[in-house]
Amino acid sequence: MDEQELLCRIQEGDEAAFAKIVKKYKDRIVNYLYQLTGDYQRAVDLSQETFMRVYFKAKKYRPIAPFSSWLYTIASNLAKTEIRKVQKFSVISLDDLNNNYKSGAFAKNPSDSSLLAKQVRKALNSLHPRYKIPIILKDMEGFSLEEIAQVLKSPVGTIKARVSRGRNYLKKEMEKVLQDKESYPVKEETSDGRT
Amino acid sequence: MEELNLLEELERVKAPPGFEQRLEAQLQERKEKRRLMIRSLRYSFAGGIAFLLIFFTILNVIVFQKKKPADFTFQKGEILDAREYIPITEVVNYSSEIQNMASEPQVIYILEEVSDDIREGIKY
Repeated sequence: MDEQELLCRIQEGDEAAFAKIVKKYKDRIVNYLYQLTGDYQRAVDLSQETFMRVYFKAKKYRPIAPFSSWLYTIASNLAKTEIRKVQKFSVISLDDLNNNYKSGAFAKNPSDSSLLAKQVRKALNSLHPRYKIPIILKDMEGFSLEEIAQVLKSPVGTIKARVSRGRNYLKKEMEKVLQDKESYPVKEETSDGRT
Repeated sequence: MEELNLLEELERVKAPPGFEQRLEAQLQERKEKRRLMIRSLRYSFAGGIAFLLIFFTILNVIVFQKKKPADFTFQKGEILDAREYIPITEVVNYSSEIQNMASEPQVIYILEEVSDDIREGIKY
């Protein structure tokens, strides 16, 4: 059964069809939102909300574009809103921080294995969503420029420019990081806090 | 395309175990919430309409009942000039003036010329 048929069944309220869609896309959406937000727990919550919207807004879906484009559009919009919200209210109280730490919320966040990956992540997180979303869709999710244009509802030329600018920015950021490393060697800290 | 390779090095994550069960529970909860919301909206709409009906009924009773028809009766010793007008009501019975001609015998009138001076032909 193809996705269009599954969508038709979801429109009629078929939960089994919805479960199939979730099973197929859950990992991709969680990963996509994780790359966008940089927070695993938040990515999982946003993925849940994305699938909720798929179920409740299924009647609004028009088969003019592939289902995956529609799904990624919902996820991207949610992520954009979330990033904006986080940027607005980035102050966290110490109590919340302590509670989250004790409850193990931070422990679930997977960390990038290599230092290089960490630097890439840092550079990626510093990118504006306008550039970050097309780059992730293109270079990590394997979407074509046309598909990204469908997801973001922008002309292909605009997407092409954003991918190019985003890559350049990322390249500059990485060069900066590498230069800093060369000029300031990392001081290794001993277990008792001395360097 | 070095950036591309760098991005591919980033760790890829998967949905946590129990993701679908949690989603299913959330879905049922959201469905229930929506159903309750629709029901409460329906009741509040019906309540609103009922309230408006009752309100206008009461308004009708209070406002329009005050406007009674003009009182044409006079109290004993009341001065007529104080009134703006005097209504006169007269009962007229025309039944005696209307007769049914069909019940009477038919009468034939013959017009006969009595004058000697004939100016025009007689018309019957």
